Amino acid sequence: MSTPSKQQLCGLKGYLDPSGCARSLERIVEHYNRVGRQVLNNARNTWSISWPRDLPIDVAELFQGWYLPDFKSLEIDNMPLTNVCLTSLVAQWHLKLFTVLDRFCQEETRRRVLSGFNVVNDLLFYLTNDTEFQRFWNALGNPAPGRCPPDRNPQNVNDALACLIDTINDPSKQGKFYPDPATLNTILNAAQQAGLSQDRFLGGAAGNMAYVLSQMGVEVHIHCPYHSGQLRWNELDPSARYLEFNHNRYQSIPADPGDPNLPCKITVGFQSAPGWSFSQLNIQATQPGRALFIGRHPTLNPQHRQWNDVEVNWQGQNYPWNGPWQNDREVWPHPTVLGSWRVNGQTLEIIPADDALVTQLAQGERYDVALLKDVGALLRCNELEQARKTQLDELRRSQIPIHVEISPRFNFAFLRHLISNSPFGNASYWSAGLNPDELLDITDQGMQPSNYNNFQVDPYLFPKSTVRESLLQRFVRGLHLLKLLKLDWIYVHGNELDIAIWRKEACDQIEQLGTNTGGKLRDAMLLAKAAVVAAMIVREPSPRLQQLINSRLAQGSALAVKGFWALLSFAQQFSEWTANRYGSSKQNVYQDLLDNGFYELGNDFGVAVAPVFWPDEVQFLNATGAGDYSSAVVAAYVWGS
Amino acid sequence: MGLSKELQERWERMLRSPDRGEKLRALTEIGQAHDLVGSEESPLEKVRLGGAMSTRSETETLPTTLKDLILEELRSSKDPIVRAEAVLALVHWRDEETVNAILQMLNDQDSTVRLAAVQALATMGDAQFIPSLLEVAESDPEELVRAHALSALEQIPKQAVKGWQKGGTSDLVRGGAERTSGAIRARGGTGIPDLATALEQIASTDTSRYVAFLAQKARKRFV
Repeated sequence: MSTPSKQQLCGLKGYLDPSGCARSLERIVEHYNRVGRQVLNNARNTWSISWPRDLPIDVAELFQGWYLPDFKSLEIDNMPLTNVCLTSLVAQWHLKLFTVLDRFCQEETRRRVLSGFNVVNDLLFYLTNDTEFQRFWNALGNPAPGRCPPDRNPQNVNDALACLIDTINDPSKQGKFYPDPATLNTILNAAQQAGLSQDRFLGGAAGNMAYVLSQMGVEVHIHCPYHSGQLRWNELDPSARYLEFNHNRYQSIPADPGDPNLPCKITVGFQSAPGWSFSQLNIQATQPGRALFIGRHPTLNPQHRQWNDVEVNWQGQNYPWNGPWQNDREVWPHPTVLGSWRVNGQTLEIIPADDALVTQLAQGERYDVALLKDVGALLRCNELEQARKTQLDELRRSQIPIHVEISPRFNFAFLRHLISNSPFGNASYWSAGLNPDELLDITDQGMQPSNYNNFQVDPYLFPKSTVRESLLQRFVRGLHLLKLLKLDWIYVHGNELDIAIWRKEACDQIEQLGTNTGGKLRDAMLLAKAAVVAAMIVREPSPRLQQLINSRLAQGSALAVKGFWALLSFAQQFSEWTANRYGSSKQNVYQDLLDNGFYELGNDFGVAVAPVFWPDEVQFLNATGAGDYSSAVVAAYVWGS
Repeated sequence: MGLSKELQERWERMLRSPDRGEKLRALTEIGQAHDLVGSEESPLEKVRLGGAMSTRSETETLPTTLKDLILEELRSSKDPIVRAEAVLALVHWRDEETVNAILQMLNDQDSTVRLAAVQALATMGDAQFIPSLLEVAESDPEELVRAHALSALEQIPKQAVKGWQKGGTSDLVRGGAERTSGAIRARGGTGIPDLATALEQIASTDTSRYVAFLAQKARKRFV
């Protein structure tokens, strides 16, 4: 069976160009060594020369030390980074990437994963000129822009408009906002009324993960609270199933088409094209930008809601669950557990699957991994949180690992509580993925320590740097989080280098991982990066853009140069770090990382890396969900046999 | 941008140094010095040695002594990394002597040196190297070297390939290494159809899926 994504992914093999890539890398290294040093020296000189004579010079030195980094060569002692090293490096990694893609395109291994819980109706509207913006603004009722709140939760149209304008003017700002349901609805109606051209996707972490994996030939069972017909289920490969629970049994039914009168979460996105302005509201669109207005709750037209209260039925008893649905009839609860619901009189009953049913599911379906994005978030209902812990423990008892894409909005003490008490001692049967920005947020000193069941977690590591952090710092943060949460392995998916770190004492005990965890992680990361590119191209609604990207890719893989650059940089930093900290041979570590893509440090931990196969051209595509794609592929191919 | 006397002397000094690190650094820097030889379509023409062939002043050309020092390393060094780096440093010269020296390195016993020689030919990007690259792709014992030769073949600009087909052997390789009379002429052919056939042959017989794939991909370019 071959899907469009699989064809595109296998087609990426045709874009490999080791000799061209080696030439580009050689030039980049030369430029860095020659110009980088020169530029930094110039900056230091300018700083010294321009410093007023009447101010203390030691302050100038202090500032210089803090804000101007030292030039760091990519080499380590006694191992000059010669041109033939670069040629050889590029040649070896192209072979690795080819082998991974070729194996994927040939293999018939069936994998089966469970994906839950967050599935979203992702709507994307395009703003390509001032006329379209004018129409949208008119449809909104020409409100004056308010102020985009720092907490990113606009509670009225004025503030939401300000958030949109901020993002159009400066796309480098994180364009994710969480308006209240009424504001989100107003924005959506205005965008539709303005007749903006639009696309619609099956979104949310679970939707994105299910999409990419089903397109890669993995059998996906997707579970979310409501099998809503508003969602674009038809984006999934027909092999994907919707997992439904009903009292003492479960069944997997066709995912398409869903029920039209059930709620779903909505995200309203605006993609702005560069080259237009709107002077009335001081808008200058100079670069492509994207603002996403994300609904936190499932919503549905109030006329379809028959109930008033919500109760959780757990272990034979009913418990009230209070939330915004009490005040807003459009809002439905979003219970992120395996289970079902029913309306009983005026009450919506949420019925989490009990331990026996989860065991039945685990043993019946033998999932390679359960991808459960939302499990780290609190539900504000003790019984639901207990149910979640019970369900996850049952899955693990059946040796079904849990993989979670971590969000800074998680409660880490709660997540740690869920991971605790593994039935397998040091092995937790638990892995996680996240992107470097999220990792930075989570491990920054600004994060609040939190408490859960008397388990104190202090996520403090070190403060965010004023300059971009090094890859080694990223690794250290990842290692810290891995150990803090007692994960088996963690995957930090970057735009230039992917890093995975595993706890040896855990992974050595896990049968599924075999004896070559490092190689497995490296290969899965290589596959994931290619899969992300393929999925983004295939999901691009414009055939012209698809064609353009493919033709640019066909011009050669100079596209992979930044990945190799990052690999060299990390190998250099990591080998020095391990030499100083653990007394390892700097040369061996450096060479192992470059040649094999992984290194194991005694019985403590191992690190695997993969340069990113991520062409610059992809920036023109819809990157929403790229992190979910990466994480899902790595989890499915590392845990899957 | 031309090569300054100061830089030239520095490289010469480093190449004469007994220290391996110094030598390697000099060779690496020379190999990477693309900016010093201009960015015209055929920058290497500008640095052809022998004065009379150059249109530039003395300070703007790479000196023969530097080339001689590199060739000396190439011929005498027992260290494969030094030989490999020397091959890559020679890409700025396109005279008969250096091109032949590079072509000979395609037969070096060390695969790193052979890989470097392929990369040097790829950097020069001249269609006249097609027969040599093809022969490497057919017969080198190392998978990575064969693959790299195919990638290099594929990177040769289409226009250059057309020109090569029309014009036959150029000054660069005429009378040089026997290697240049390799694969294609051994079959009695001289043109693209023969090249396509040879690539097809590699694609169907090579035991490495990677090499076979790259051969097929390169073949498509020439069909």
